[in-house]
Amino acid sequence: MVMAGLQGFEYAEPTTLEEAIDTLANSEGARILAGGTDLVLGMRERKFEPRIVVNIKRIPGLDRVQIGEHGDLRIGALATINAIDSSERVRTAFPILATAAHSLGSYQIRNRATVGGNLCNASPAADTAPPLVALGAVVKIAGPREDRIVKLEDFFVGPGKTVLSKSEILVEIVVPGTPEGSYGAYLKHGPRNAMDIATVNAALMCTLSGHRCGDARIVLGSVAPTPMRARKAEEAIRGKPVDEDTVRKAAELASEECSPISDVRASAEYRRAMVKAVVRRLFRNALQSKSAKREA
Amino acid sequence: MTVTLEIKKYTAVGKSIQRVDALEKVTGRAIYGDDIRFPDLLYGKVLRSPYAHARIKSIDTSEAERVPGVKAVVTGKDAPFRGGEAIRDQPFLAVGKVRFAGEAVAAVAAETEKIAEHATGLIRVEYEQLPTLFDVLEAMKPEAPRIHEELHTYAHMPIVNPIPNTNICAKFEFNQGDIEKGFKQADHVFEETFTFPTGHHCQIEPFMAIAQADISGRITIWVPNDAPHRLRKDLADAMGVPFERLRVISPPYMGGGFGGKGGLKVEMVCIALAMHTDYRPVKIVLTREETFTSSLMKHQAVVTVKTGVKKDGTIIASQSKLIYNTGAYAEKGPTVTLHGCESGVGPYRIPNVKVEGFTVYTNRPVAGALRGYGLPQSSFAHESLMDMIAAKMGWDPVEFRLKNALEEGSINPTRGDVLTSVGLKECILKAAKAIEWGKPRPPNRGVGIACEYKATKTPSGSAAFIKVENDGGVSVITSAVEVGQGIKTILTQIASEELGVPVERITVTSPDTDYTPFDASTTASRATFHMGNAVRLATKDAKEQIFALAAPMLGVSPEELEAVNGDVRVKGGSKKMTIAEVIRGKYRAGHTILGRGSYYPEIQGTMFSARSIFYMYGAQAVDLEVDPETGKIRVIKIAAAHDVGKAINPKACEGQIEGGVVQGMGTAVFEEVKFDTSGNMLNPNFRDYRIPTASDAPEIVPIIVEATHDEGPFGAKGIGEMTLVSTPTAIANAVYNATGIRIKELPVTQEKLFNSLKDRNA
Amino acid sequence: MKRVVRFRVNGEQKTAHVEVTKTLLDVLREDMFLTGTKRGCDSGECGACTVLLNGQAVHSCLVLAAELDGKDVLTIEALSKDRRELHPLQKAFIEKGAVQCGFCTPGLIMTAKALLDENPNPTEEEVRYGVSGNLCRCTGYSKIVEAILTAGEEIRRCNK
Repeated sequence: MVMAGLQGFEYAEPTTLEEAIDTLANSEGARILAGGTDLVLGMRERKFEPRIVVNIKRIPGLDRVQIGEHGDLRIGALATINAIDSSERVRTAFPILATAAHSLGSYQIRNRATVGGNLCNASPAADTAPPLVALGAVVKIAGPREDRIVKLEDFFVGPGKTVLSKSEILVEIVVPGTPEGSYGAYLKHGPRNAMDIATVNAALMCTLSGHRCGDARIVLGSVAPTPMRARKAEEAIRGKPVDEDTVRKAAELASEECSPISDVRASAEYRRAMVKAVVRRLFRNALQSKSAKREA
Repeated sequence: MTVTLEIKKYTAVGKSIQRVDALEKVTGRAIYGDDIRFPDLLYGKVLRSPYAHARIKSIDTSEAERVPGVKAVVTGKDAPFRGGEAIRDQPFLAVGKVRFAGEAVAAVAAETEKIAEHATGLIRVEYEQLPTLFDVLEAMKPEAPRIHEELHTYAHMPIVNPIPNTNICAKFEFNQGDIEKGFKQADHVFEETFTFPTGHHCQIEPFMAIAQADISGRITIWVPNDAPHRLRKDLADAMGVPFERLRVISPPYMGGGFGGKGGLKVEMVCIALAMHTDYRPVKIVLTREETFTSSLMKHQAVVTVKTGVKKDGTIIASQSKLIYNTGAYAEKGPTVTLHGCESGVGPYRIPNVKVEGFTVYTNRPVAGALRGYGLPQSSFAHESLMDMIAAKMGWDPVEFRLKNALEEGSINPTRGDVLTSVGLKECILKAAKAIEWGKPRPPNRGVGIACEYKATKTPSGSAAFIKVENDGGVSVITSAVEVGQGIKTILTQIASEELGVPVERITVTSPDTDYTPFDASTTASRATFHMGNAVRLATKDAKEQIFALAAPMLGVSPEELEAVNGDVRVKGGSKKMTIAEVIRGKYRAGHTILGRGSYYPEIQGTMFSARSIFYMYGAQAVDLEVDPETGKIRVIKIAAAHDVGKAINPKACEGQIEGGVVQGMGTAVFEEVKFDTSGNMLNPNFRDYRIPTASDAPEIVPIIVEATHDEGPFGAKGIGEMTLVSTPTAIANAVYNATGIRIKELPVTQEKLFNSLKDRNA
Repeated sequence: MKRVVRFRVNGEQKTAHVEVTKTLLDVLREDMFLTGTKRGCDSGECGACTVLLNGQAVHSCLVLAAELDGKDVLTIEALSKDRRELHPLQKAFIEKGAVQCGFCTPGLIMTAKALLDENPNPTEEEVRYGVSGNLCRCTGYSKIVEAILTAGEEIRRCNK
């Protein structure tokens, strides 16, 4: 593999969504350019060899981060990771998403990378996927026909693959407001304290009354072909008190139901073991944020 | 311990003046190799072998040659030379066979990089794969495939002695006392084997070179290489031409070297192309990936240490067998092995010593000089064993070391020479104190210490000119390379001190073998000492010439004069003249005062065979915390104490310590080269070959110890290499202290530590 | 395929006819001779190529030249017009001894500038995390962090 300059491609810069969809529909081998932090690198490594690169950043209105009157969060697909990381409102209302955004790449990458790009690149280790799935996010997809809404947890099909057809564009991510008593956490485990692609990353959203867990969503990254709900683990803790035993049981189940691979970063066995540690810590952190809130 | 008395108050030396190159660097105006361009520049790209060991059956470059814009396509036969300082074993491009995945097989020079890349992709090579050999112990076996069938025909340095018909290209031995008797006298004997991993230097500036042949066939090369004169010689030896047919020019600055940018790397293929482009210059810049696979790696090593101690804590005998995996070509492997052997049993008073070192070929990428030059490998072994012994015997690791540490007048346990200027105990004590050794720590928290000593390359020479201009300005002309360590600043300070000229009026040249006099190399932590001495001598020479001119002008004898602040003045009096006035006083029509200085230690022996002109000593202590649930290590603090003789620029010394320590930490906990089964590197990028970021670097306490050296400039010795030698072992020792887990193979990644903890708890 | 882009570099309006396969880093170094910005890895992993794009620190090796139309680029060369007007970061890097080989320095200073522009009073941890996308192999980061914190103080003092 020769790491080289970029190979020849056509370049398009549509200024409307319709124009973009049209270009995608009428081209073979097109790839969408958002932040470019995955695409340009992938092109240099010959992972992607697009015939045409479609830069959608000229399309207005796709980069907003807004909290609606019902507390729901609407993230334009082109909102940068840094926009999420530095949003006081996101940090307050959806802290696990802000934490995940903060942990992605470098400051320079966060300034360019977009939420939409992070999701559409569909790395199993994507940082924004677990918290958004844990928050029950849905994505709005524009295409040649009507817009469609897809639950984010159904959006990913495999490593690098989503449900998007070749002429569809992810335009918005909608995160419903969290119910009263919701707490969560996001953890990213890697060897260094910055810059790593996760060995294991995971998000938790749960409702807690006292120490009893109401509903729970546990979402694991880097340990399956796509970000995945650890449903057996969720089942084991739903409605139960959040104590050492139940958390341990949930963590074990999560560890069993994932399917990590061994790669250059870590072995499957270590990943499985880390799922256990990470899930335990997710609950610990969620409880801590609950007591912190009470004390505040 | 040497007691130093500051009789004289220095004006420039010993001061943390601002680095003379900092302004250019912070404004983006500093010129590095890739910033250099010429109007008719061609761009080169290299085709590299995907196989670790294969015969080249055929190479078809015809399609590549036809691409518009391509000016030259070369293969091994177009530059039929072999080079290598220790052993002349490396062809400029592969001939007959390839010996590592990433070896240069063909190259293209074209009008643009894109065209060169495209054309490279059109070259067809037919390979016949051969059995690969990656394991260094396997490679030593008699039945192992031969990587260099013609080993016995290669020219080599006197000190290097390849064993014909094997993969062992060098073997070294040090013996003192009687090792067998020593072990018999011991109360306890311990033996362990340790493995040190390969790794990469990760200079942020990738490797590059520009080469041009002129109409007479003379070749000029612009290259960030840490030893321009040595490079010229290496090329001259390889190509069979006299020195004057070659010219090596250093770009003003190098973006990090750490030993890697020495010897023959990109230079070879760049020159091969330049010889066939109709006199147009060719630039090759390696990609980051190529920099990982095809420049230089650190030696992987397997080291077995056996040490015998007496009940009272003294070490009576120590034996070390060191096997260095030098990869496909010897490069500096032999002398790296030699240095590793030289410090093979540690900085201790040991009467009975036997050290054996082997430099062994495998089909791995070429390994060579890395900061520390063989010591990180050997130190990891004996300094880990020291702690294992201490643990078994119930001794404190600091006390055990202090009890045996070398001191002023001790005998070097390997070479047997008498040691002076020995600051070791002070280093150990200060490092231990700074880490609060002995303070009780919570569970999963631990401290570790390691110490070492290192020789420099001896004998080796440096020469310098000092040019004093008509207006009193001074030019320091040397071949010392500014690799980032601050040598230009150090030499400025030394010249300023000696000639009494303010630092603002002094400039330091960059090397150009046509103009700047010989320097052995900017390696082995030798520049401050050797080039510093040469500059000091040259400055003294210039000063004496100026005094000889000034004396009659001031009506005194030269002995009554001193040089202060750009003036020549009568000692204790008020009469003075500026240096400019003195020169103009004699040479109204203009002239130059040329001082020359040459420093070559008066020590018998060929290079590397003699005792060292100075030794550096250091000790590092680490405080860290282990997360038992994940195996992740958090290094909290590193206290590093280094005996530099005299700190010419204390802040620069601190900078070297801080940088080295973090490099050492990377080796210990993060950095791991991964290969696939065919010998290709799986992680030739910063994503998956992880070096410490600012978020990973711990609190660092740099401590300067000064055991002045009589022959060093103002008492100075050296520092650069020592600063990363002890860090990995101090970390491994701290891990043991925190968890009871003994790591015998680095790196201690989180996964490895987690597994060890799991196994221990099972 | 080529494309005409009109953008500002260091305050100067430029018009460039660029190959779409070129990156901002290529254009800066090769076409505009602004070699202060360095190429370390071409993969957005070392930070040596960092410049400010519309005031934000970015890896210029990951920005396509074709997307520069209407944009504002600031490189290390424009932080100070001449020696007398060094930016507080440049002064601090010199004074604190935060420069060794210097190859990472331009990228680091640009990242630090963007960081301080966004957060004028960062903690040490925030500084370290903020420059984690700039790899340095020489300094161990201690003096770099010190320099950035010092520069931050200086900038706040001047802005009072």
